[in-house]
Amino acid sequence: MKTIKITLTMKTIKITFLSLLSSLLFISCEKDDKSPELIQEEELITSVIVTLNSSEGQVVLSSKDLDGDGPNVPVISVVGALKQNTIYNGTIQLLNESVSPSEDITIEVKEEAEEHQFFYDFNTIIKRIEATDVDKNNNPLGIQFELETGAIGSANIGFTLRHLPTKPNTGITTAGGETDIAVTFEVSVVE
Amino acid sequence: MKHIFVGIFLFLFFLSHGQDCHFSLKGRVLDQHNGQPLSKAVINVYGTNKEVLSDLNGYFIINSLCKGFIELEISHISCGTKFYPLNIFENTDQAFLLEHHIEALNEVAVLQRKGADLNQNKSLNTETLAQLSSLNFADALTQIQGITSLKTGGTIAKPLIQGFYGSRVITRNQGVRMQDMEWGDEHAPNIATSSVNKVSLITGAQALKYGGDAVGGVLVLDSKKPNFTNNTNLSAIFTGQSNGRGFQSSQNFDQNFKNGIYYGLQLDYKRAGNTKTPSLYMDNTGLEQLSVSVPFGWHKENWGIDSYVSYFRANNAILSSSHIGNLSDLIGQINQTIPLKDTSFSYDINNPKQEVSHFIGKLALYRRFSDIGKLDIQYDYQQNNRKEYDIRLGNRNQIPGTDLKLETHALQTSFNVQTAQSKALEFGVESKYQLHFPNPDTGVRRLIPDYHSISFGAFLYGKTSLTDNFMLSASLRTDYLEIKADKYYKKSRWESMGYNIQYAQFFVADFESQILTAPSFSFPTYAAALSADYKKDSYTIQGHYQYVERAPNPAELFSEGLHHSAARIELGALDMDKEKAHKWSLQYEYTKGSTHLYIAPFFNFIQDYMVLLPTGVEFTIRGAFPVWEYTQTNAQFIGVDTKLSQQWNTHFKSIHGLSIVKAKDLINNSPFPNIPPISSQHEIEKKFKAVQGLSINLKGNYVFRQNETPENISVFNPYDQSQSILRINDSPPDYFLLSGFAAYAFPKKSSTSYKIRLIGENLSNINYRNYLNRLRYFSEEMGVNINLQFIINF
Repeated sequence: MKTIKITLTMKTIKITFLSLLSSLLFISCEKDDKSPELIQEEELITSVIVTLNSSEGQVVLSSKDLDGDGPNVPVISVVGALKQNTIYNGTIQLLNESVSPSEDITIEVKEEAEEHQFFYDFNTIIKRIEATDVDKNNNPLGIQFELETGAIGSANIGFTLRHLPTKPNTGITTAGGETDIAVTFEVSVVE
Repeated sequence: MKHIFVGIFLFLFFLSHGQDCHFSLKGRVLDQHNGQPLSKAVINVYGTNKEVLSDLNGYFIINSLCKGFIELEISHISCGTKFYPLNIFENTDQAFLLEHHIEALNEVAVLQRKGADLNQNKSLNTETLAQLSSLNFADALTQIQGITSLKTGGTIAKPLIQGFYGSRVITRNQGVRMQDMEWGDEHAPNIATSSVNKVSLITGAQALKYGGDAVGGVLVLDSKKPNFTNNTNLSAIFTGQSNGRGFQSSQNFDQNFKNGIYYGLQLDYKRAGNTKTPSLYMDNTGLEQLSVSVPFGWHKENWGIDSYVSYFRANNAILSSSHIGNLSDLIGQINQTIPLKDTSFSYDINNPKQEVSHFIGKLALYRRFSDIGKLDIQYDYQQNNRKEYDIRLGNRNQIPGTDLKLETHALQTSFNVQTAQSKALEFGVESKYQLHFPNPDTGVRRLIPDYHSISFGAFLYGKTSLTDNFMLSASLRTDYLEIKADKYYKKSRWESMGYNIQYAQFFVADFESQILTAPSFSFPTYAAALSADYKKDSYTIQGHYQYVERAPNPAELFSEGLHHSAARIELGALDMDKEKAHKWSLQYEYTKGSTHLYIAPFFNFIQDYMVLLPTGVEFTIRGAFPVWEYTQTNAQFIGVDTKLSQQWNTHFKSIHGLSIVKAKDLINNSPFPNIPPISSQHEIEKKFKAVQGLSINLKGNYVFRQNETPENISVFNPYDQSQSILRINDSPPDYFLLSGFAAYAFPKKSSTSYKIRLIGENLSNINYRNYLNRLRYFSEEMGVNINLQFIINF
């Protein structure tokens, strides 16, 4: 009788320890060694290129941030100087240069013109910047614009692209929406 | 306005007059198998403070019972807990059978002794949970003193226990530790409130059985257990919600057999549209939620099986104006220059939105070895999916910006050694395999990478009663976690963090602007806890000391990139060390007559506390973004939860509660964000003599302004070329919220009972903002909301 009990006890202990052990040895199907897919961010805008043309010549402003939300700051370049009292025709180009070949995001913005609008910020040396293109609802889009310079000096020109702003609106402060682009260039206006 | 409330309080007070409650109930608790009397069984009149113990011959007596339906909760240390509905209309004498030897203990009953459920101040019972069923789980939990909820809008909320949340809180649902993406702020536990029977907050020695890293505490949701009778329960709750025009339907079906077999089905569906502040509709704030669960089990004397399958799915709209592009947008929002878009009502759920789902499958077995103990083995599988839809460029709105899948397999084994009733000894081991897959089809870089992890854990728990009044329990635990990730870093980031030198061994391949790395870490962690409890006639004191270590979660290690919905760059740190927390807590409970007092102070010291703090600003072509980095510091959390309730007479009850948490970053000598402000609750409950079954509850919740907030950050705003203060840490003013309910139970004529409940939230329709809501910058909270609930029990 006693032996039976001991055997039973031994058996119990064995079952218990086997169970405990199996818990520890429990190894699921080992992950396969395939590396995860590289994600090329297709809608990332890395470069904003603003081309200003007039009979007096061309000025190109560009801001490039190839690492997107990485730590590197955008590289800003201004090629050429604006002439005083001149009207320029401006065009904004948005590129994704993190993929090759680079992608022109301006096309997507144009396709969704009703959902986008460029806003401009400038000081008194620039007399005005006005959008010259419109969306289907006849509201300004702002990829194309007209810029008129005033006296000589230096000026900051800011370009902001808002996604889903209230359209029409009275300006950026009331437009709302989400900022897709916010770049500022320091330009000089010369004789 | 305040005078009116005072008036109502007084009115209700004077309405309450004594009813003659002279009935007594004599009973005897017997073993169902052999008819032997069971001594020291705890008999509680459900929902009241009336509680007695059976004597050596199993007899008990409860006096001063009122006429009407009551429910007895009878539990015994080595049996289960059983509920017996009774109609009291005369002095009653009845025998009650309990299934002795069969393990049907509620999960949280170990500390239950001598009639006092020591967790009554830290748990919610079935009745309360039914009443709260229209709330999300975290908001329902705020009924427990010391728990608040951290929100992202009105629908996504996670529990905040004495200032701790996320990975510092373990949720154990049906014996399964919920494995989800708790590291994210905009993540809510995937649990429908209506599917929960009882929930308790566990700290101290017991808590280590469930995990070694719960700095904040363990939320234990009771598992389904059989009741060994042939019966069918069917209950349904239908709720209509005025604010958001929501409706909810919950059904609970429960079939039990005398032979120990049980099964059930729980269904919950909820739908609501845009909710409204007192003045306007909040655009895109609806939700749709579905939950289904099926328990099945068979309990015999020496063996048993429990299985559980559940599926939860929610589609939460996120306030449209909270979707912002960059820092200037955020500054604009915080400075209120961009007003909240007033829209009309709609059920539509548009981008931005969140789609989450959670599947749980569990199989548990137990085997009892006579005179030795009980062995438990459980396997569970979980799958948690989360998709975040943003407003995107170029027809990509149908593609989620974040698409995560987290799968977990877990196996746990424990052995409960058979000991004398006054003692307990339990030990166990567990292992876990986890696989995280962020879907690359999003076209957006992964904020949390692919990873897989393996972990092992082992615990030992014991308790002993030194005297009749004094009990000690202790536990030890160790865990080992190994985590391996495959992560693409922005090359510029990898270098700016210095990882190219410090972690060169993790480098795998170069892809121009990005590099593939394979970081791999292992963390052994240790935990120990000691609890003591002392009980005298009128009071109980519980003291706990707990030391736990927590390994960093994937967000703390690997976050890297723009967190779109928060408009900030979040960075983890590969050199994160485990955090080490000491927690001292005390619970003092005093009951005399109809007065009940609860005071629970706590003190935490945490070394290498991991926290996400703003550290600077980075510029991109989209403008500036604040950078938030996971850093480690030393932290101190100190506070107290108190509650005073008074049952003035059988018809009138008042409850007052107060919770305080003070948290401090000891290295930077600064407060932490997201710490709940001081709050006090005042509640009165009135039943009516004239109208049997009618009860009214009125609750006032005063939330102080959080005065201890971290400093705001000063940032350069490139748009107007100026330095601006980002008032991200400012706290909104204090507020007083009034809520309440009126319930009426129709006289019971057959076995079917009907109950109707009218629940009001923000009754005075005040405009307020909640410091613990991450969307407080964008919108005020919901205005008045009236729920009408219809409850049927078959």
